[in-house]
Amino acid sequence: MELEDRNPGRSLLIFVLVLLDIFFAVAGYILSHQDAVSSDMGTYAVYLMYNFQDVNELPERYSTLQKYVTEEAWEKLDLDGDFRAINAYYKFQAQTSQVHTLLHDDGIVAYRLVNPYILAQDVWLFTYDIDDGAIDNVHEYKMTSVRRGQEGVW
Amino acid sequence: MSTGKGPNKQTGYNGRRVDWPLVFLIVVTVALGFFFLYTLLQGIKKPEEVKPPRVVQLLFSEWLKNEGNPNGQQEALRLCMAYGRYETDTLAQNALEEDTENFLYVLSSRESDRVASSYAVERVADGFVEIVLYDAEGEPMYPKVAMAYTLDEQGLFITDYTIGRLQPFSTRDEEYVKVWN
Repeated sequence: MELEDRNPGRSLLIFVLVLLDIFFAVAGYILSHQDAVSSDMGTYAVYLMYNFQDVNELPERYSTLQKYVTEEAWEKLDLDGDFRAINAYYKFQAQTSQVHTLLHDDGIVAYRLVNPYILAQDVWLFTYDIDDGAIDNVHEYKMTSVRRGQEGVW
Repeated sequence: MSTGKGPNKQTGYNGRRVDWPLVFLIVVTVALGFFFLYTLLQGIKKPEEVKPPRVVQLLFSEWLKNEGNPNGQQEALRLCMAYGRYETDTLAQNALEEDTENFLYVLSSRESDRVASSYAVERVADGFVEIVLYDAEGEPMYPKVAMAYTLDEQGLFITDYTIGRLQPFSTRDEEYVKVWN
């Protein structure tokens, strides 16, 4: 019975190919889900800021959000500033607030707020970029001078 | 014992055995390599390359081209909106007049001495566009404009919309300063 030739080169090639397969598969999966991750981060940020049962939840929520935003974005959001805290407190009148998402895509979240002191038909927008895995270049808007077509989309 | 001679499914012409597992692994690696390359190229696509549908671009460009010309602006709407779906001409005309009023209200300049002559797309999402209007000197005219819209099945006409201005509410926003100062 002949012994099969041993081919160490073949073993090495198989090892390299398997490593490449794992790298391509994992990296390709991560890259193909970048937009979904970006979209989820934006939605999560909006929920952290505006979806709560009790305003006393806000400090902890803001603290969580700080981990997901760049320093510049954090300063712009001004979430640990008194002005923002007081404004948010009085705006919501210490009532629960729920976020109703109208659109969430890479870099934008459009939503309504369900709170007795916020007009239900008002549309709010949160736009952002992702920089090195963190939310950056944030803008918050209220849609004003709104006009709708036959029924309107929002 | 292997003779290595003659035609055989497992061997090539010279009698060497084809390493099918290795061939399969190479094919899988090449395929995954192309997948990785494709997702990489998709990821580095510049934001400017993402544009709203042609009908949306046409609407804004034709509207602004006809600034000061109400008939021209109505034509822009007639070109882009799905008025053909209305049962009668009267209903379509009523919708056109209402849309004209809506777009005039939202897109007219807040400053009497400035007129919008062009626009640039800031953000695009499925059924949504955010634009900045520019005057003849190329200066931005805040607040920005945003429009959520639906298209007909062919994507040729706008069937419904919500349009408005984007008022920033952070005092640290550059746009806030430009709007409120």
